[in-house]
Amino acid sequence: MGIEAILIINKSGGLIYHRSFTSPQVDPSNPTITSTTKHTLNSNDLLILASTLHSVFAISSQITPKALQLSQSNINYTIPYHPYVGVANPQTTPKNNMPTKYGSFKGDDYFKEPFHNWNKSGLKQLSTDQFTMYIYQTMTGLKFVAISSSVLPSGTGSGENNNNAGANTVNINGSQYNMGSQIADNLLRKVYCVYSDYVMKDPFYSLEMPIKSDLFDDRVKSLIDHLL
Amino acid sequence: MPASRIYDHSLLPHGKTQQEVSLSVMTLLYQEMIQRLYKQSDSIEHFQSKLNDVGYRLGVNVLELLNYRASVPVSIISKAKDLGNTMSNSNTVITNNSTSNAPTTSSNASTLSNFIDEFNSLGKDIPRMKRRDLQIIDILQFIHGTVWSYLFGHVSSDLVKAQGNETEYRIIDNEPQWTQFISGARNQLHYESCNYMLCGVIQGFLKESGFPCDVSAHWQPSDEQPQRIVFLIQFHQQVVAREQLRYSRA
Repeated sequence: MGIEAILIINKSGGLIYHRSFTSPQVDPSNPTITSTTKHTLNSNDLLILASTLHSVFAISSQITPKALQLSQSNINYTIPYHPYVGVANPQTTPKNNMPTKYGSFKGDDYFKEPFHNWNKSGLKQLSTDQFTMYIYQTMTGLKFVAISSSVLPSGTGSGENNNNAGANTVNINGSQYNMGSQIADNLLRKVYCVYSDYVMKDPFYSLEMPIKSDLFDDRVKSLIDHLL
Repeated sequence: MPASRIYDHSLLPHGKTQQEVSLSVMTLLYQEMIQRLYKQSDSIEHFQSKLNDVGYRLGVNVLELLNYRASVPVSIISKAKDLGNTMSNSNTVITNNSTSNAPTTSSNASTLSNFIDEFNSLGKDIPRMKRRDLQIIDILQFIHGTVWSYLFGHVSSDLVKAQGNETEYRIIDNEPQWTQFISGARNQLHYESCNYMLCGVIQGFLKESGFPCDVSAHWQPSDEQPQRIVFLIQFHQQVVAREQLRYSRA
């Protein structure tokens, strides 16, 4: 799963972080699509995209079927932990290449347990024939968005999944759609972990403002680099 | 066991594991403190001296505690550790079931009285206890090793004497723990200022042990260590003069 861009949208719909990871070379796993053909958005377009996403997110939570809203308590929103998404695996990486620690997180990964999905009624995944977009929402309303170059195989029905409320992810186990979404959630939660260290523990950062931290940049880059 | 026993902790290190605090909470608290002090300050120098003052008080306390610990014989410390373990174990047992463990408590009592006897006979160990550090290099080694281990769990990355200047020494930390999430590249002055709390700790420690000095923090990044901080210690002239009078001819 090639990640092309990471966006962070604050709780009032403003874009506070954007980073594109596309390189001019042809993606080896998918040689037909060259990365240069996409992502020619300027910063203004990105701001519009972010606020549009924010609105669509709010609208989609309004149009969640009543039956689903009522049966909320029956749905399991736990997302399983996938080992070493975006970090070096100690079993396959030579000792001297291992990074010693992950910020204030102990051990060789940011977290090691299944976690709760706070995004219960909003937009979770957007699938097109060009890219797939995953959204991870935190409890406080911050949204982490990943744009992936991987495209769902035809037949999975990208349209009907657009505003699903997380129910499909739990019920359809093992499908490629499900797996991609879970890995994306794992990855985005790690971006959130990095955010909690390098943004929230920076005394010179003001809340809700754009993030300009080279340390945060480096850590996000390293997460994406380790993602196969 | 009560939730917090921080006020009745022994001054001696005790228990199986070292006392640890969450790094996440520590750094969050640190950034809040910096934000608050920064807002209250008129200038960056004012901010540095405020942060320095906070660290100074910590340095004085650390001096007392670590010198006390270093002067207690190892045998007593290991006994205190054992005692701490048995006491904490038995405490949990007592809260669970207070009637059926009379043998445990009585054996604990005897361990405790043994320990107190031993501790009272500490007087005979006084000649073997650690002496106060009188030389610059000794006290700096103590900071580089013991103080850093106590505060951060590892010794500092390096301790160097400045070339051609008798009064200057440097303590280097490749990954400063308290300021590791603050970017040095974005604003060097801000980043250096955030490290003045540790400057204050060093200054307080040295001044109270009879080595008046000024300490400043400098950001000197390398490729592997983008956060590398150098603490520059400038002793007052009198310290160096005293050292030369006392030790140069020996």
